[in-house]
Amino acid sequence: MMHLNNAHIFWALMQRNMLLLKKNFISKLLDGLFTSIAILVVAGYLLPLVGIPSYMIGPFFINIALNTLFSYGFAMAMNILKEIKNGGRIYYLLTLPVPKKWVLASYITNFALEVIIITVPLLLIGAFVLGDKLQIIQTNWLLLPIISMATIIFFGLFMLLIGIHYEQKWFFANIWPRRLSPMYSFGATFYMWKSLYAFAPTFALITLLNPLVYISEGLRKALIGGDRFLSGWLCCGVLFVWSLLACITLQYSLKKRMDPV
Amino acid sequence: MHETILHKEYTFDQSLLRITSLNKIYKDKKREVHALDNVSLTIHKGEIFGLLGVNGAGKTTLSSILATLHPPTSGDALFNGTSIYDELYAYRNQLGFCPQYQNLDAQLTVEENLIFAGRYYLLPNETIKKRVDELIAQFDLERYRTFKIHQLSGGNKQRVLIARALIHQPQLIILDEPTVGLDPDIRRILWDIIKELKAAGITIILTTHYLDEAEYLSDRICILHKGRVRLIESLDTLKAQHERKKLEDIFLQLREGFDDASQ
Repeated sequence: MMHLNNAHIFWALMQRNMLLLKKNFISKLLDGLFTSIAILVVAGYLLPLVGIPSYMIGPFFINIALNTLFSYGFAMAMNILKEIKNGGRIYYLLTLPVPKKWVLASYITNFALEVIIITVPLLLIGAFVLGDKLQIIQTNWLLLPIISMATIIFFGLFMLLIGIHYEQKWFFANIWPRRLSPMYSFGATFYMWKSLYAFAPTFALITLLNPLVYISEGLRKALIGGDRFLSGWLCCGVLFVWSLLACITLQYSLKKRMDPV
Repeated sequence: MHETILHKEYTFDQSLLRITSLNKIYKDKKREVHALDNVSLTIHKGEIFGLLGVNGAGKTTLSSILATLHPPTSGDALFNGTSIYDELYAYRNQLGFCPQYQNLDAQLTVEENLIFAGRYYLLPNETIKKRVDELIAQFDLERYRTFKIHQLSGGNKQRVLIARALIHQPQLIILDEPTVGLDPDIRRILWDIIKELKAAGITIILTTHYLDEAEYLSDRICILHKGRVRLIESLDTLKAQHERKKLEDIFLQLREGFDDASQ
């Protein structure tokens, strides 16, 4: 009975999120379209124009899309940070008759919905317009939605975690240079992991601690296929473990942030 | 040393919330701060219980614990005889909390804020519609029904905040500094609303550092000082004991005693 009540309250929280999405739908869709067009121009025309080899266009297309995910995730992190700093909505939600993990889940699900609205047009239009330029060997249609969802869930958890964990002052001054920028740079975003391993195996192995490696490589493997990337299912498995760790840390960080004993 | 601590524990049958030996200790690398130090008190059904104290006295810590935002370091709070931690969600269903900072859903309208609050408490749709209409009328918010929260004045936001806390008809409502920063006329209007809530049988914990507010509204006063309960007394008794002085004078007089006792 209690679980049913929790699920109903979660559904009410989601109804609120969906109402806001409905109100802002055109704006969100435009965000997605603008992002898509920008990415398509860069990946489809500018990169080949400046001499990037054609086999890199597909991986770069994924990377630029990931960059967009970073931006939206960061916006969510800032929102939750502001809510905590200013005694905002989350303080109300945490007094509702529902465990706090359901409240956190509503934030992550909302993030997932927004990201899907933005990225689905990107992927559909991208695949249609870029076509052969992506040099797709074999898209894995089973892996693609699974790794995409795993990516979105991990990003949702991770961004919520950093928004809750860090103090506002430190967050704004240091989060990009000290956390996000190194994570992004060494996340196999500008190169393929196997290529790095061929030249610097020790360093490549160290970068396996970075969850972004599995996101970049997993999405490439699912969309493009071939043997240039890490195993997609391995990436899914590791992302699952990272998400689990983020989930545990998130609950601990929230407790500590709300109650700094 | 003469210690001016008056602490009378009431044992009415009509107690709604009984707090026993509540402690809250914040620790950092250098020191421990006892935000609440062995706080015990009882809140009776239908009363307005004024929690008074200077900044840092522990008022907001106590109200946050009672709102179940933070757990205490030790001690317990019994709601209708059951620990709030044993029946956490049942307790939250009977509680309305208005925090010091307005935490309304800024992107929604007044009406939507109330509707979703009703849904979060799993009220049936017809009940929500009825309650929203009642609350909008009671708090004189009809013309702001479709306004977004950011379009409202501070006083109207505060009304919506209290209305939202009442949507599920709780037995207990915690008002943490409900009129801070508001104009005097708006404060008066909110005071009348709080009086109406009491008349409707709702128990109210009122945290404030405005002594005129506490004097106008409270049935009993609890003074917290440095995390300790220094006095719990009905306003009438307190005034009789201090020859009908204003609460402000009584508070200042007592506070000197507390400071002496602490040294």
